[in-house]
Amino acid sequence: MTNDVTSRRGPDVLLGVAIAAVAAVYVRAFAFTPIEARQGAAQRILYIHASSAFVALYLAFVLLAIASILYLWLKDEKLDRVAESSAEVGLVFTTVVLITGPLWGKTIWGAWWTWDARLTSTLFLWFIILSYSMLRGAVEDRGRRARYSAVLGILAALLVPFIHLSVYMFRTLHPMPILLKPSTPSMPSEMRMTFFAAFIAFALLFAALLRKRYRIATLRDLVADREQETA
Amino acid sequence: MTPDNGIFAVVAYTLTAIVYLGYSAILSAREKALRAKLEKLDTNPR
Repeated sequence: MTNDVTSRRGPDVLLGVAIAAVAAVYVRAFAFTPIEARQGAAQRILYIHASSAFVALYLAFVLLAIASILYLWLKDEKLDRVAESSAEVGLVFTTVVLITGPLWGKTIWGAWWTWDARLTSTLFLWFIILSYSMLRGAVEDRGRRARYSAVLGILAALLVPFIHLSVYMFRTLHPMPILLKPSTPSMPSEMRMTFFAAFIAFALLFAALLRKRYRIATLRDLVADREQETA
Repeated sequence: MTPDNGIFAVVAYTLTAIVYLGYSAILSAREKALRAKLEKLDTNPR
């Protein structure tokens, strides 16, 4: 069967560019961005923590919801693969958020973790996306698996606006947004530049990993079809 | 006085690189295995 997914590929250029962009952000964050006076060098964690959170919440899980809704409407397997891929890559980005957050929190709050609304709801979302992946592994029938996961994917994404607004709705230790807010971003321009560069680099990385993960989902379905044909 | 806590940033950046590069490597291995399986099915159908 001639299919561009099955054909052998050279190096993944998009992934290479994304990794180079992230490496450039590392260099900029450590060598060319001033240190925040009160928080010290640990404030640099912001660039990877917040941009990974942006990508997970506002790209990965929003895409998961859109692809899931469209799947329930159009029943196109490609949409199910997009949702599946977006959820898994989003889970990896959320894992980074949950690793880097406590490291930053320990330096500014003196505690690795606190059960406040922002942190708890993010951890809860991580568990829901993990259960989404487990659900996909547990249901054999492709149609049923896609339907059930689409519903769970939409429910998971409903948490995103709650997570965003949690710092306004509850008293939390987690700081208020300093960039994604109606008023002017409260950050010096050099730091803001590093942050935007980090966001673009991590968004590129998300796109590259999503494309790779989508290829895997397509290949897996092709293998399953081929096995069924030859059985 | 600016606190001396740069080690936390170094650890955070290192762990982040490990997670992303590790996941990327896992994806590459999964893709390679699936391609090999598909090739085997194409050349040697049961």
